[in-house]
Amino acid sequence: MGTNTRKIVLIAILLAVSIVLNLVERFTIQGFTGLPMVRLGLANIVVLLILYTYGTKDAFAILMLRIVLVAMLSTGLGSVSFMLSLSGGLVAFLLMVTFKTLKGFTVVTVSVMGSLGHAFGQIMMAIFVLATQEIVFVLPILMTLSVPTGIFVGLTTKRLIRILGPQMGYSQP
Amino acid sequence: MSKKDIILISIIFVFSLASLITVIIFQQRTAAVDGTAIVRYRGIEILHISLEDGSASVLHEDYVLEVDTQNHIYKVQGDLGEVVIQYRDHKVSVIEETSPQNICQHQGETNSPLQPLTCLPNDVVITIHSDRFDPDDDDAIIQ
Repeated sequence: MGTNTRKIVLIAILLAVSIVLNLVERFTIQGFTGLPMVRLGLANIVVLLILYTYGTKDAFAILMLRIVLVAMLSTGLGSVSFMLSLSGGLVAFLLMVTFKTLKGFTVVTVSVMGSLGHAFGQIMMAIFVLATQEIVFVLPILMTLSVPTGIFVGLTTKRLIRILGPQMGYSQP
Repeated sequence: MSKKDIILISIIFVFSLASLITVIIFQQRTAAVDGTAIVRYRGIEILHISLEDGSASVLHEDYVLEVDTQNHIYKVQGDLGEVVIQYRDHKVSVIEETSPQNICQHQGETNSPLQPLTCLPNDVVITIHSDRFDPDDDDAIIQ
């Protein structure tokens, strides 16, 4: 299998994995906590893995495809949930790319920033779409939960990069 | 994890925890037995429920499906179906709605302006308005 074909196949598999992870945690963790917008962020493991191995462009493509496909499979493209996922994903990606380029920070901080960005992006969109500024008071809960979930996702990704990285043509600095 | 990681993550966590504790304290302080629960559908105010006695005033008849003042049950329109709101002991809660995970029902009761109930798939939000707490008023007195 050529390098390019191998890359496309791997990205397709990882996209499928991220969609399944996202749907699974939607129906388990989120329902369990009783809080809107709370998620472990397991699907972000895939985005982080691609970001560190294949780069920004591919990671962004995976993220956008996941958000659109998950919306099509669950709430629909015109739903509030889709808009929240989109804004959360975009802010998270922006922060992750920024902190990845900064020296001295590992994938754990990049993951925590992604988790925080997701919370900020969602809350901003929720205030705008639902026209309810009181939603801002949910932010401290999301921010506090972002740290442990971000660390967990970051450490998992770190391990995955070590295992899968060499097969994806990535050598750790 | 590098030293920089630990420092930044610790700062974020301490700041987040401090803001969470502040919100929890203010949630208790701003709990209003004499406030009003404002029900919004698609950003439009459709129903007001008094937290004092459970009386309701309908603002948008098309979206308020039923008002049962005796049992304090109010049914409003949501994107996926009916959203049933209950008033009890100066608090409101969502007791029934159609959504994939029913998160709205698990959010419990509220009587604090700092604790809105959000039913995202249904685009229904319930907020509490209290004279003791008005986010638009800089001179609001919080007791």
